[in-house]
Formats: sequence, C-alpha cells, structure tokens
Amino acid sequence: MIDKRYIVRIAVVIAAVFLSLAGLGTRLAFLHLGPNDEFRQRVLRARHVEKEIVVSRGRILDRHGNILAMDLAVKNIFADPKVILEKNQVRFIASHLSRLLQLDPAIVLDKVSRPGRRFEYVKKCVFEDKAEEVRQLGLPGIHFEEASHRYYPHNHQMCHVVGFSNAQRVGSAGIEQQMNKYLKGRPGLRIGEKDGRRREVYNRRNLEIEPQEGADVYLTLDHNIQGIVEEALDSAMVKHSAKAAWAIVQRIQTGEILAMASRPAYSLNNYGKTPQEFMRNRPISYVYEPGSTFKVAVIAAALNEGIVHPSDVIDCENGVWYYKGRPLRDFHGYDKLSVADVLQKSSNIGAAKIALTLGDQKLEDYLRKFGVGKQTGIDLPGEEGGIFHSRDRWSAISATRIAMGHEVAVSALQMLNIVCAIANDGFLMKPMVISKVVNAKGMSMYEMEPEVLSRPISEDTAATMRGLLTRVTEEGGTGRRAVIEGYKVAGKTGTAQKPVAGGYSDSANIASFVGFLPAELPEVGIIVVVDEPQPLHTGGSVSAPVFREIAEELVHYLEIPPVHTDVALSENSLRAGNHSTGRREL
Amino acid sequence: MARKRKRNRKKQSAGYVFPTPLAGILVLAAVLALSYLWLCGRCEALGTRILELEKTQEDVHHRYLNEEFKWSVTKSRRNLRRALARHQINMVWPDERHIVRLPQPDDRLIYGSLPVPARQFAQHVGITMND
Repeated sequence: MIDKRYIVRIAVVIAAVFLSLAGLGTRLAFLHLGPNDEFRQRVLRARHVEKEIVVSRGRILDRHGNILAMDLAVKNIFADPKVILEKNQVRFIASHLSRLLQLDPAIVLDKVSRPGRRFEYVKKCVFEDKAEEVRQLGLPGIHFEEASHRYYPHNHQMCHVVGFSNAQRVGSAGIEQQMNKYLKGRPGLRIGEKDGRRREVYNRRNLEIEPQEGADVYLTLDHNIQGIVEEALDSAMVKHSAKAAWAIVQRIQTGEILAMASRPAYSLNNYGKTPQEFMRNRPISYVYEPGSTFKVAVIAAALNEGIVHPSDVIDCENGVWYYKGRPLRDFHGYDKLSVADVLQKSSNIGAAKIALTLGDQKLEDYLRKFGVGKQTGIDLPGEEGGIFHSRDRWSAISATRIAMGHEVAVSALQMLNIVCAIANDGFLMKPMVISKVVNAKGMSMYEMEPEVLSRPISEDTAATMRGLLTRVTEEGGTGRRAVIEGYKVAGKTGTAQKPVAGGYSDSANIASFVGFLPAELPEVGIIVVVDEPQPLHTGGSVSAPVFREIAEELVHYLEIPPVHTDVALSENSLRAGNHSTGRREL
Repeated sequence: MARKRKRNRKKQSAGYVFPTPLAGILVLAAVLALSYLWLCGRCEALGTRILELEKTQEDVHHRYLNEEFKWSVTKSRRNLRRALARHQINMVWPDERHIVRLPQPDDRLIYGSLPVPARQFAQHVGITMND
C-alpha cells in the first residue's frame, strides 16, 4: 500500500507542474492575444537591420585609361588591450605588429598595453594583403575592420589637376572637387532582419535600394606627357633655383589639355601635411604680368586691322622713348625695326607704337576677344580671370604698357590660349581637361566636345603671325633656345619684372616662353613659366630650354612628323609682303 | 475436391476502419507540410548561400581593385624609370634619321609636296565669324 505521504508529495508536484504550465500558458495567451504592441516592437527592433550600402567613389583616369585616383578596400586594424593583457602577450604582439605594419614599436606597445581599454586602433587603412599577413599570425585581441580609402597611384603626378577628396569623401580640390557630383555615386539601402547570431537573414530582406556606383571621369591629360613636363619642370626648378614653375601642353585644334603641371607639388596620398601654397594650381590660378609674350596679341590685332604690315618700319628710338613724359625702354636699343623684327627682337617701344596706332578702343576689343580678363571656362576649380581694366580706367600711357604685357595680368592658360588661337587659324578654343564621364555600367553620361570661344583674327592674319613667331626662334630672335632639330618652332619669350609695392622689382622676374609646333602645321602649344629664376632670368635663357626639353620628347611621343618644306611659312611671308604696299615708316 | 471455405457471416470486425479519403487528405497535408518545411529550409540555405556569394563577390571585387591599383603603381612612369635604371637599360628616342615614316592615305602631309591643310575642327562647328 502506498504511503499517504507519497500521495501528498506527488499531488503537490503535479499541482506545481500544472500551475507552472498554467501560468506559462496564461502568459503565452496574454502575450499573443493581449495588448502586446510594446513587446512586438521590442522584438522587431532587436531583429531589425538597416544597412547603408556604401559605394566606391568613381575613378579618375587619363586619356588612355591609366588610373589616377581610385577607392580601395582596406582594413583598419584595432586591438583589444584587455584581452592582450589577460593573455600576457603584450610584447610579443607589439613586436610582430610593429614589424609587419612598419610602426614604431614603442607606440604599438603603448597602444596594446592600455589597461581597461577594449578598443585601440593600431593602424588605419592597411592594404588587404598586409592585413592578411597579420591575420595569419592569429594574434589574440587583434581585430580587423572593413574600410574604404581614396588612393592616388601616381602620388605627386598631376596632383594639382586631379585634386583630392577629404576624409568625408567629398572632393576638395581639382577634378575631385569639380566632378564630385559624378564621382560620389549614391549609396544604397538595405532593410531586413537578423537572426539570433546577428547575421542578416536573406529571405527577410524587406527593402533593397540598389546603390549607384560613382562614375569614372576620363581626362584629356596624358600621364606620359604629364611625366615629361613634370620632369622638365623639376630640373628647371633645381637648375634655376626658382621659386615656382608651371607649364601646360595643349592640343591646338581642340583645346584639349594634354598636360598641366605646377611646381612645387605635393603628395595626393598625404595632402593633410601640405602647405596651402603647394596646393595652388598655378597654370590657372596664378595671374602675372605676361611681359613680352603679350606682344603677340597686340601685334596680331594690329595686323588683323590692317593698320600695320610685317614689313612696316617703326622707329625704336635707340632704346629709350619718352611718351607723355614717361620713359619706355628696350632691353637692347634699336634704331629702326620692321613690325616683324619688333616681334623677333621683342622691342617694347615698337610694340607700344603699334598699340598706339591701333587705338585704345580696338586694342581693348581685340584683347577681350582673345579672352583677356575673362576665365577660359576650363573644368577646374579656382580659375582666375586675370586683370584687365576697362578702357575708362586706363591712363594716357596704358596702351603703351599693355602692349609690352604690363598693366594687365593673365594666367598661363589664358596666355597659351591666345597663342593657340593664332596657331589655330584664329579660332580661340575653350580649354578642356575632361574628356568624358562613364558610369559603372560603361555608359557615357557626359562627353566633352571642343568648343570655339571666339575668333579674334582671320585665317590670313593667323598665318602671318605664325610666320612672324617662327622668326623669334630663328637666328637673331630671342627664342633660339626653343628650337628642336628638324622642326620649326613658333613662339615668343617673355621676361616680366614682378610688381612690388611702389613699382617693379629689379631682381624678381617671371620668365616665360609660349609657342607651338610644328610652326607650319601646328599640333601642340606649350607654355612654360618660371617664377623668380636665378641667376639667369630671361624667358629666352630660362623657359625656352625647358620648352625645347618638353617639345623634343613630345614630337617623338605624339609621332609628330617634321614638315620637310618651307613652303607654308614662306608663303605666309609672301602673303604678308603682298598685303603691304611697300615699306612704310610709322 | 477441395472444400469451399465459407465466410462466417456472423463474424463482424469490431475495430474502427480509418476512412481512406481522410487518410489521403492527412497524408497530403503531411506531404505538403513536409514540402513546405523542406522548401523553407532550402530557401534559408539558399539565402545563406546568396549572402556568402555576395560576400565573395565583394571580396573578389576588392581584390580586383587592389590588383588594379598595384598594377597602376607598378607601371607608373617613376617606377618604370627605376626598373630601367636597375637593369641598366638606357632608353632613348630614335633619331629622326632612323625613323621610317610610312605615309597613310589619309595623312595630312603628302610628302615631297605641299602640305594639305589640316582638318580644322572649328570650321565644322558652325560658329559666328567675327573677324
């Protein structure tokens, strides 16, 4: 017979179990059927996952598809010092990490041995293969975090044109800034649920907005030509102890910029430590008084108006001419020079007299048509329009000073554009650095077409000017050092004193040379500007050799054949002579 | 001759016979339920697989970008120069006398005669002539 005590115990246990189950059942029923919104929301919140799908910024490429800027997936390596201290592996880990990541061992040791800390970055932006080497070591307390970083494979090259994007991935200079809206893309969004192990459950994805990857921007620049130009500028900087130097190479017929370089330069991968002055894209943002190179525009205008002809003779006053009580001097004194010789010898007095003959109104009109005082509209941020006052602000002697490139300031790009217009039958082209924008699917979103800004001079005048500019690099001209073997080069030297408070500096000059080649059938225009070269300081001795250095390699690289005939130029000269009714004296 | 076995009519089966249609429905329901479970499991497995492949695709893309970057760095002008110097190779452009230029039918220059005017881009875009 069963003991009564057992019966009671069993009954109590059964009752307890029953009550428990009943309680659970009641709670369950209450949870499911009662007012459970708050709990439901809590569960949903815990399971909810909302993730922004980060997109890569688009790449920047040169005209041949060489990558100039791109986003890379990298790893941030961080440590959990508490775990490392617990495992007593501080020294071991610090030595390995400092060796693999090329860090100062003392700094790593300090980071991984901070008691009470659970998170310390050891190194950010580590390349995947390097991170993999660290992972292979299986170091305790060392973890990896996915990240993306902007890299510039060519570092310093094209730094002023390419620019950089900041830590917030916003383009902050150069093309990165100018084309930010295309490059940045649009991040996607994914909303879903995760499981107990915090992993996303694929079939619980509620919403997925596809990301739009950043578009690729193709430039008109050629990274090899850029390399040629930058090397030439680097050696010029050293040779002439210059403060700065810059150069541009432009395709004559389309206005495409093939190279644009400025020195000093900076590393795009380390822009944070760069002085602001180094970041200045001088070819477009530095305006200077162009000096004698500007005579090209004034003489072209006068020729186009038919006011002077190449063979007309001008009295150059033996080097000193007083106009309105103010002296005007030539570097070398000349008695009488033809208009052609005024350009070849770079006579200030001759150019001033031509400008006076042209008249203030026409002078201003022509220079404005040449784009002086106005931005060219190139697709780069920070372009300066230069300084060119309207005629009502001119003094009585302004025309004589403007004729020799003073009282007016231009950027190197504006100056080159003027000369390229002469090379291009008088058509002033809009300079362009962006060739096209292609989206991630390979479709072209934006394509640049060459654009004509104006036509300041006629085809005949342009041809005559080409002939006259070729004489500058021939025997007796100021630009002989720009000549390359087998080719005819047209160009003009310029040496401008830098303005200082109360006048012009005696020692600080800007030496420049602007020209194009082959003179008979121009393909490319080049400008070289050197700021404060020492001890040589003239455009002919400083910038013209740099021009030659660039041009020599360029004709080989671009396979520009020499033109084995003088017909084109001699025809121009003849034409110029025919226009003239004889040797006039102005 | 064999005796014909007679059926005992008095002997009735006492147990309950499960109705065949109901059994069929239940079996069908069970099959459907199992199929649903199997499909559910399969979907989950596929979902996991898709997530894995998405990750793999991302990794491969990252690796591709890394390799592209390395290649860009390797073939940079500076590195090529260094490589040439390391192997003591001095590259120079050929002299004009050593170049043989083969004229193309559409070449701008007719060698030995007058140069043919270059294609003037600006004249094809219909601008206002202001000269």
